[in-house]
Amino acid sequence: MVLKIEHLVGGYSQIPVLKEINFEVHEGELVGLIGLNGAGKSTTINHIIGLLTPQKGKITIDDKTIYQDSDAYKKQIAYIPELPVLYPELTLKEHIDLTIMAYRLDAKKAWQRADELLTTFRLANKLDWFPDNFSKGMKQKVMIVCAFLTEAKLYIIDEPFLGLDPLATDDLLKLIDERKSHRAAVLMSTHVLDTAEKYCDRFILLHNGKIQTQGNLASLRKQNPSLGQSLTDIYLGLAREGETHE
Amino acid sequence: MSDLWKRRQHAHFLEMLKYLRYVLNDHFVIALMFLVGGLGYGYSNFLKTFHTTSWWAGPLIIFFLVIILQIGRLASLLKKADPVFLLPREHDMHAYLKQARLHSLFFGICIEILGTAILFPFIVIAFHFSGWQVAGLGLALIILKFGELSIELNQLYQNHAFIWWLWVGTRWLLPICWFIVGIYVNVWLTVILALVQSFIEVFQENRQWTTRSLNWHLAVTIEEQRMLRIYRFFNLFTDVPNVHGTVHRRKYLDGILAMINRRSNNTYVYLFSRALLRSTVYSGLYFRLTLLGMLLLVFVPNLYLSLFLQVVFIYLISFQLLPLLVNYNENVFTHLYPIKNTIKIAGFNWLLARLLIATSLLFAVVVGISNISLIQAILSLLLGGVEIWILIKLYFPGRIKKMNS
Repeated sequence: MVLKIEHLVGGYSQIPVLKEINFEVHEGELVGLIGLNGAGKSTTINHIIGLLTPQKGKITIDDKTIYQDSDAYKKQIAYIPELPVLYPELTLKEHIDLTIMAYRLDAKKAWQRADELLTTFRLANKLDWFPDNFSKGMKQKVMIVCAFLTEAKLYIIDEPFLGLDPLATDDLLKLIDERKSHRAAVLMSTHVLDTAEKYCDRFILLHNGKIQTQGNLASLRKQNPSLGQSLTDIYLGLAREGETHE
Repeated sequence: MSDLWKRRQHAHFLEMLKYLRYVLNDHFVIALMFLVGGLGYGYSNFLKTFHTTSWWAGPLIIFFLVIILQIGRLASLLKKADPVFLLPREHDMHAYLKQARLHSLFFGICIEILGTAILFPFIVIAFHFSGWQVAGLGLALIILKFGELSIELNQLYQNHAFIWWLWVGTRWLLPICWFIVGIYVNVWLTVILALVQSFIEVFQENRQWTTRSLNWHLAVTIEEQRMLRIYRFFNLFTDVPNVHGTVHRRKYLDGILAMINRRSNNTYVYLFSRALLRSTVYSGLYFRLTLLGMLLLVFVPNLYLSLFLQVVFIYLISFQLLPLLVNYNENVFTHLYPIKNTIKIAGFNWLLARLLIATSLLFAVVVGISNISLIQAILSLLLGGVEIWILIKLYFPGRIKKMNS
């Protein structure tokens, strides 16, 4: 088991956005975090990566919280934000160097890996450029390269597909598969349900800060036999249901 | 439309006031007092030793008069969204822009009066002018300013590109001619000539705008550039949201950057050093303040005053560089790196110490050379070293704690 969230209550202010969240992400598993805008996906992610402090409950990676050993906890995580976050003053090459330094990676091995990733995402000839001036999709690729450089145990990926070209989307999914085969755990939030249906092993459906339901596609179908077969149908049904219950 | 102008002007005034509060913080006011005091002292010394027979006094006065005339542009306060929202009201925009011209003129009058007042003793000593005659020169400046602003207003109604000869001619060549007349022939003739030029310019604008349409794109671009210049200035003192400075690659500095060891503990040194050298915000601040300090030190022969100035400038530089420490706090990754905050702060201090030592060294060299005194140079360096030690070891830890909370 890698990521474990127990009874998490939290948010940005005193009024909690998340109410009693419980879920786990295991080794070698890709879990899709799905919900409407404002359901609490990003808040959940911000709690996991340690930007927010839980009001109640606890989050552990390999049974350790961030408060027990913050460096060890952080070292396990690779994060790809929804909107690319870059250093305006650093070139692409320097972004990679900085990541290597920050995560104490072996420079030679990491650069070997970086070169492969850069070639995959067609960035190899842009090493001396400022990524801050790239297009949204290319910036996203830089984020992917830096995240997959670290060979972390837990990948947190926030809505990765918007702005990525189809080839890069496919390459990203392959990369995730490759990391899964190395027993990494992946939590990915997304609105692109077709892709999620095809690639995720399990789904967590968030609604208004609560987990509406979770499980793999088969179990979701079993729980909601009237809603349809595809993840999109089931999700749309549940979302509408959730809205009318308010 | 006049309502819109009033609202814009009010908002603009509040915004400037907000930034001025940061500019006129206690540190800068102290530096400014020294600067004004030093310059005033130098100016009065210059006037005392000045001989009326010097041939260059006239050209110098004319040069300064024309420079004063260049300060201040038409502030239209147009916004990027205006072409979309105000397009249907285009005809009324002229009334709006006329108010903008009036407002800009008012600002111009203040500048012209202040400039003339500063030149006043120089002109009186050099040419034995009466107070009224100097006031005549100031009046000519104000009249020319109004014509200038009208040309700028007219420019917004043109579709052709910027005409450089019109600019150089009306803003530089003609005023130079008029002031030559004023200094060497008759001041009141200058006032009449300025009136004629200005009248033609105003008349031309008034005649042309009815037959043309406002060049929205140009107008917004010009105003944005003007505001950017103001923001850049404020950005020297405080963080202006609209200006993050520009980033230059500056490949020639890669050699310096390569000297930093790539250990994990140097992660933040790696990051901060690049921000320092490549972002105009920090590099500009550091180099400008260091150069300004060096320049002042050349003119200050007094040992104690010189030492005091050095202490003040090193303090100012360190203080202005301090925000670099939190510069990347908005970047989520700086919170994710498995690196302790203490290591980050240590890296920042390491870098800051080296920069301040470099400044202190430059100050010492300037002091040593301009006073031809090795002792003064060594004293400067010693004092600088002690100050840097006190700042980094004793003073900043508390401030940093405050900044982080």
